[in-house]
Amino acid sequence: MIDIEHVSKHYVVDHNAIPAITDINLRIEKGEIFGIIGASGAGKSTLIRTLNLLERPDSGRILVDGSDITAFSKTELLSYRRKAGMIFQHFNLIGAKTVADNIRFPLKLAGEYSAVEMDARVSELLELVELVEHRDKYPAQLSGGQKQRVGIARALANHPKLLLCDEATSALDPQTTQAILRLLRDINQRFGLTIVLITHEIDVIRAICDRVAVLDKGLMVEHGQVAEILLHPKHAVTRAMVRESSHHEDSATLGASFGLPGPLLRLTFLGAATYQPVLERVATALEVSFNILEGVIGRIKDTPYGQLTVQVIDPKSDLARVEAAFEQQSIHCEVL
Amino acid sequence: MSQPLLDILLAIDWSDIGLATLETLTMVGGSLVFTVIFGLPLGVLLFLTGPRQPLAHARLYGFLSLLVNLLRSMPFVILLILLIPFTVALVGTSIGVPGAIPPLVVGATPFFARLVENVLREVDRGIIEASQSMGASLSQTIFGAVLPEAFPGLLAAVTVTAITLVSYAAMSGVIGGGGLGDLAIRFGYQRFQTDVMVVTVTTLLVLVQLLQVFGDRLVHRFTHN
Repeated sequence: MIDIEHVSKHYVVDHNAIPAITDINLRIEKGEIFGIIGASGAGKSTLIRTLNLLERPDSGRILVDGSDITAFSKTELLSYRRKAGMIFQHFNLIGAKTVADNIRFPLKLAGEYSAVEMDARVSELLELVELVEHRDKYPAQLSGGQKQRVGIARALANHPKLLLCDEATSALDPQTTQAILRLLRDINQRFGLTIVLITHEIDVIRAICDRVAVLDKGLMVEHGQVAEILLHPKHAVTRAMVRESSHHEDSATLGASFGLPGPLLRLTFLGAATYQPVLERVATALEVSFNILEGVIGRIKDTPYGQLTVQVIDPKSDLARVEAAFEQQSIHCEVL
Repeated sequence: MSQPLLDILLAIDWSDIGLATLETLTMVGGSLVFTVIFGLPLGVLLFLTGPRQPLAHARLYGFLSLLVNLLRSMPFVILLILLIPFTVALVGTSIGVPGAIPPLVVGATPFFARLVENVLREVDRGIIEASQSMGASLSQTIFGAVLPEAFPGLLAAVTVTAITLVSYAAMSGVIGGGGLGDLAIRFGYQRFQTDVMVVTVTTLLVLVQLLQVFGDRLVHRFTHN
C-alpha cells in the first residue's frame, strides 16, 4: 500500500544541517499494523509525518497505492490527507469545540456531507469509540483516554484507508494504553484499515503490531515480523531495547553470577510449541537436566511465545545433540 | 453626605457630563469597530508570516512589524496632530467625534494587531498540525481551528484595546476631539474647575472598570477549560 523509497530529510539548526532520517526504504502492506520504534531523536516523528507530508522529504518518493504523494498538487494533497487520518500524543483537539464538533470538523472540511449526514456520522463514530454520553462536553472535561478516543473518532470520520498514530498512547497510563490499543486493533480488523504507528515503547509493538522497523539516529537498522525482531534482535540498538523491556540480564553477567559449570542455552518457543512440555521431553530423551535461570512466556500480538535461558547440567550427551533435539521440536536454540 | 460635597455636586452641569460621556462612548465604540476590522486581519497576517509559521516570510513580516512598531512608538498626541490632514481628507473635519475616530483607529490598530499576533501564537501548534493532517486548507485552519481556539484570548485583547481607546479618546480632547477629555481640558484644566476635573476622571475610571468587568465576563463565558 505504501512504498517509501530512499526518503531522506534534514533540518537546519543554527546553519548546520542535521539529518533527521536518511535513506529510508520500507514497504507497508495494506491492512497491517506497522510499528516504527526508536528512541527520541531517532527520526520516527519525521518519518511518520512524511507519510502525509506534514514533513516534506528532501529526496525520495512515497508511493501510496502506486501514486507518488510527493508529486501531488495542493488540492490532490488535501484530498489525500482526508483519506489518511492521524492521531497524536497530545490529542490536539480543539478546546473551544465540543466533542461532537471536534469530530464534525473533518467532515465539514471534506464539504461532501449535509448537516443531517454529518450528525449521523458523528453519532456513529461516538458509538464506535464509546463516548455517546460525552457528545456535548468540551475536551477539558475529558480524561486522557477519552480525549484520545475523540482523536480516533475524528481521524476516522472521513473513512480513511490509513491511520497514522504519533505516540498515541505515550501520554496515557498503562490501563488506558491497553484500552486504546485494543480499540486500534479492533478498528484495524473491522475496517481493514492500515495503521502505521510510532512509539518508543516496545510493549506497544508487542501488543498490536504485525511488523516493525527499528530506527536509530535517522537510519532504519532493522525491520521485519515483530516476533522475529523481538525474539532474535540482530542490531545492538534493538537488543538493548528488548533487554530493557523484558528485564533480561545480559547473558554474560547471568552466567557469571551463578558461577555454576555447564553451558547456557537460550530457547525460543513460538506458537503452539509454547504450551508443549518440551524441556521435559528433551531431558528424558537425552538424560540431561536443566536449570532454568530466567524465562518469559507471553504473547506477541496473538502469537504465544516463550523464551528461556537454561543451563545444561552434567551433559551426558554433547551439546550438539541437545541443540538438535530442541530444533526437532521446532524450538530455536542458541548457545550462549 | 456632607454639605460642601453636595454643593459641589449640585453646581456641576450634569447634562454636559452626560453628553460628554455619550460622546466618549461613541468615539470608543466607533473606533473599536474599525480597529477590530483592520487590526484582526493585520494581526493574523503578522502571525502567519512570522518565523516558523505556516506562511513564514521574513521580509513581509519584517516590514509589517516595522510599520506596527513605528505607529506604536509614536506618542498618541503627536499622531493626532500629524494625522490632521488625513482626517480632514477622510471625514471632512478634524474636530468633534468624527474628527477623533480616524486617529484613534490609526493609533489603536497596530496595538490591537500585535495583541492578536501574540494571542494566536499562544494557540497550540498541535492544533494547526492536526487540522493540516485532516486536509484543511490554510483558510480552513485559520477560520475553523485557530480563531475559534483563540476566541477567548481575542476577546481579552479587544477589552484591553477598548480601555486603551478610552484613554486615547480622552487625549483627543487636546485637539478638540470632544467627549470627557475635551470637557476635562476646557473646564477642568483651562478654567481651573477642579470639580469638573474630578468628575470626568471619576467617570473615566468607572467606564474603564465597567469595560474590564464586562470583558472578563465575556472571556469567561467562552473559555472551556
